[in-house]
Amino acid sequence: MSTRVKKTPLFKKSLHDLIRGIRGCKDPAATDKYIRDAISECRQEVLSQDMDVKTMAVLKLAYLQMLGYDMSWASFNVLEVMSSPKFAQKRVGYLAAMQSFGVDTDVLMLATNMLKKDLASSNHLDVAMAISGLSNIVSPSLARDLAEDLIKMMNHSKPYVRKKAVMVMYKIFLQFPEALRTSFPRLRDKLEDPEISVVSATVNVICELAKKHPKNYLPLAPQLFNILTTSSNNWMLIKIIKLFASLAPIEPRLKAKLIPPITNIIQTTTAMSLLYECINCIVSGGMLSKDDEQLATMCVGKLRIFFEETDQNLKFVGLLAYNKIVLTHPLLVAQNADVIMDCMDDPDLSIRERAVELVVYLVNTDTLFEVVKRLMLQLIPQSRDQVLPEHYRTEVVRRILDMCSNNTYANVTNFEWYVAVLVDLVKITEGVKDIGAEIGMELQNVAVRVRSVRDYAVGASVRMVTDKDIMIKNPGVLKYAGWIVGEYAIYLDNPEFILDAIVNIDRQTLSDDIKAVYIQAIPKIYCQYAGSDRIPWTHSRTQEMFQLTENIVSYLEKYSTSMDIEVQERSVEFLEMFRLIALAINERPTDDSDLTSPALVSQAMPSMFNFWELNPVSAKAQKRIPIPEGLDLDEEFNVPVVYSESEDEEEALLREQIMKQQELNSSKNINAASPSVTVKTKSKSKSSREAAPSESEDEEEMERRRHERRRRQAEDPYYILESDKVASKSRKPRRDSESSESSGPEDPMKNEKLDIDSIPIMKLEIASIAAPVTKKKSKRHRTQLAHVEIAKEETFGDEHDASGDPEEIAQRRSSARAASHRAKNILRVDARGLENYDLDSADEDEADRQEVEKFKAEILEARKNAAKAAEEEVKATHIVVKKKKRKAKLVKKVKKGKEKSDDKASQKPAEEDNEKNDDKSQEKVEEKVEENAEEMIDGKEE
Amino acid sequence: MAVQYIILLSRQGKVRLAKWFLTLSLKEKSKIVKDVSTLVLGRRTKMCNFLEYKESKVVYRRYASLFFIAGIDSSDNELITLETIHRYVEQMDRYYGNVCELDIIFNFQKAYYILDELLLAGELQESSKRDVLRRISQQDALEEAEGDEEKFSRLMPYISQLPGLTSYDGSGLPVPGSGSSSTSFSSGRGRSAGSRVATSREEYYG
Repeated sequence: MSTRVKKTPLFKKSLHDLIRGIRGCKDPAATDKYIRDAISECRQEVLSQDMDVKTMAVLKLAYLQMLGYDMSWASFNVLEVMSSPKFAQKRVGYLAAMQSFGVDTDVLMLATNMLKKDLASSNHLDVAMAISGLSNIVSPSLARDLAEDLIKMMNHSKPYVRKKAVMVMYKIFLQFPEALRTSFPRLRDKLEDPEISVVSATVNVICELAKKHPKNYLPLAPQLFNILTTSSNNWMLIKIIKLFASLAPIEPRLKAKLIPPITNIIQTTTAMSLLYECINCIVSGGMLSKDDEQLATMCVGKLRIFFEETDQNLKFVGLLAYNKIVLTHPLLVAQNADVIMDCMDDPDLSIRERAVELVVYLVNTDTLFEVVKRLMLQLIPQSRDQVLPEHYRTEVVRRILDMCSNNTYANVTNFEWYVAVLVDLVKITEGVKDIGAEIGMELQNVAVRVRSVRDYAVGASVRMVTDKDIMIKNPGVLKYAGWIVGEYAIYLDNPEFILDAIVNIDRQTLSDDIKAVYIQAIPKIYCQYAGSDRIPWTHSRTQEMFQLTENIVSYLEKYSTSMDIEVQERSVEFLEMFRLIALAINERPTDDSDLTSPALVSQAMPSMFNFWELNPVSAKAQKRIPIPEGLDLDEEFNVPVVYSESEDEEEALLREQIMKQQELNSSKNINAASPSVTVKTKSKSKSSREAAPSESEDEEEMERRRHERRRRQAEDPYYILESDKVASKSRKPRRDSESSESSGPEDPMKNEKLDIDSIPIMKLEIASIAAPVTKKKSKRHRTQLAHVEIAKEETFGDEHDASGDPEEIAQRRSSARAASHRAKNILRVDARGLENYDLDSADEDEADRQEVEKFKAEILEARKNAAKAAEEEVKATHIVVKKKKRKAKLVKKVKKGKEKSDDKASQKPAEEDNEKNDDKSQEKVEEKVEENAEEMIDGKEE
Repeated sequence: MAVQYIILLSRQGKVRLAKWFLTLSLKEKSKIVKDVSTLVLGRRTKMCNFLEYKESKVVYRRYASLFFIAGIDSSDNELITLETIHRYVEQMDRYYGNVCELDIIFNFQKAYYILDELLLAGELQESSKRDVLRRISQQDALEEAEGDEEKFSRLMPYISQLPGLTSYDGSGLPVPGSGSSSTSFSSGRGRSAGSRVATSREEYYG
């Protein structure tokens, strides 16, 4: 013994030494070396037989792990320390385990027994430590093995242990959802625990659980409500209120019940966090509908207090809350516009961002100028080093665009001003990625919709196209500016100047997509310039034009070998045309005898571009064009040949195909009755069917097939089903109006070839569709605002256009935000297992069924008794009455039981006769799926 | 889950404590620490204490030279998280007695123990201030009792060799070897009275 004691230090460094050593290191390299040395020492020390040495090594490693050094190799040693009989060592062991173990740490398998032992320890501190530790290292197998022990712990005599056991249950549920079923009754009891910390823990756990599957916890509402009204512990109240926010949306009746106590808290509490939670609950619990003026007024009014304090945090959360309320009650929030506007210039960018987000909803025609001015001022850097971060600048520009374009430019009275704003935005956002394109799109939109400002917009675009700075620093906008210059070349003052400028742009400067737009713009501008009859084609002009044409030809030649397909194709197309023109010009007489322009330039070319004016088309218009009757878009028209292994199967398949063909033929016959069907795809599919042998139709068989197909499609996530009733809903892919517009003058030509007029939709007069509008023949709807005409988007059918809806904007926004957050979220909490975990399935149903069965038996008996009694009626009439009464009572009971069980499992077929209607239930589910699909469609259209 | 992680960060960006209520790999953890540190250290005093990071929120507050950072779910209440952080600081203040950064550096395990009594699985487990400290002192007392026992057993050979020594006073004796382990284990203990002056701490920790 004495020799051991005399030995010089058993470990080289204590934790204290280690930390001091690290602090003593001068530079990162030295620190790293020091730490690596220390780790290799620890490697020796953890193997030591002396528990103290081992423990100290593990503690040192835990410290280093915190600094980012791996200690997973020591997992087994950690486990050894954890199983030490000494509390001090055990404590270190658990600490290290909590810090370093992951669910995939393989030694966890060995930990089960040790944890069981600690959980069963007579010392409650050991138990508590094991529970704390478990909360961090629980794996699915540990959860399964220890669930029982922990459920027992929930009834431990010490509230200290009870509370921890309850809390750790949430972690157990995450890993082993089955435990929820067995422990639920006990969890429920814990809501009534005499110790407040245990109740609080239970509320915490249920609150988390209810986020995933609120339905399970509705039955607890009365108990929770009781806590809500009696407790004064703010920590718990916040959780309870949060919990109710999850429950309220699925049980509308809760709203009426909850509003009084919550209102009471809102009006009495001094704790801002609680006040904020209450308002949050009202908003996110769906308790604030459009007609809840009073409640909304109170919330909005209370939130104003948040802005009157100097606390930045309150401002921030206040803005968050306003942002939610503004969706339903914009006017109420607008009453606080003053404080919100102040936040727009807050030194804190996160507050500013939220404020700007909110201001979009609050601007009107009077305030728009002022707000935009303030925001633009922010974008202009005050000094070199005070440039705002890029994401914020992008955000501000987006908001400016949002608030101006909102509701089809409802707030913009002066479009020259707006175009000027856009031009300025392009200038001040130089170098900000991607934003140029968004501004350009807006410019294009304005130019297309507002005829009166086109002139101005074209002027602005010309300046951009010729601006070298923009080409380098903000090229995104040029794609749209180029399009405007070409499409509205008629407004150009100096077409030859811009042609010159474009042709002389250096090849390397612009990206391919911009080049493609420019190449398209060149002929448009050219025919505007050359085709004009105003200037006589004198000899000198002829020569001038020849030179210009030659320039364009050489420009296009350069790109006819481009690697970009779009650039190449367009330049090759127009190259040929310009060569012809050059030829025509070259052949003109050399004197001034013929002053008219060549026909190729004055007539042929303009006809390519100027036939129709392009109008804005709603992005949803295409989707709303009804499917012609008999056209089944879900039908494969080229069924792939399937090679099956057995002959039988093959035969069956063949038979099925023949069936399909039969069906197709029959639908074709129906089509034949309808007028000319000339859509290409249609005729193609028709011809492919022609080959099939036509047989007599078997209506019944067809119906069966259809049914089967529908069922197959119901299982296929890629199919949106349509029932017969909603045949008019199409699932054609949505085409972006923007892209179809920017593809420019090609469209009318293509469309003509397609022969739009003969598409059956024109002839099918479906009552629900008001006057069908083709893309080009415009029937424009205009809003009169001041004296500016803004062309509305053309769409099909219902004019209820939602392009300016706040909801849509919100959606667009959130999707934009989601996109910016698209990077994989590494903070995932894996609670998926709980999402669909229904407490009431299986077991509970079984219990219910038994109950019902019992009642049924009782009824039968009651009936028998009643019958017997009837026989003995003469003898004792009063007994019968009694029995009957009892029977009535029982019947009621059974009914109640049934209702209850139906309630609990809504999709489950009725209890009693579920043997015979298997098929029926299948149908029901199908119907449900179909309904859902319809809802999906509707949802999209909104 | 309410709190996903708690990180204590010095003004220079050094991690003083990192408690994870999520199971993440070391790599993921370092990424979050790195990202969040940059975000938080870039904030100025006049700014609010909330940040958005990925799909979660970050709530932080600066106490002297230390940033206390908590990552929470996006649906959670920021204000109450600030309260939780404050509660933690209060508890440490009471435990260490006028806590400073050095206390946490050199007794990092104690800081974890306190946190483990305050939060469990990311949820606040005890809203009573007194209760948390009571548990910690119970645990410390248990440790101490063990330590004394051990010291006694280890010292027995010496004691028997020392003539005339009738009473045992552990603290008065130099304990070589393993003794130093128990000193560093319990160095936080016995000084919780708060009698020490903060300025002397630099010397104390060396």
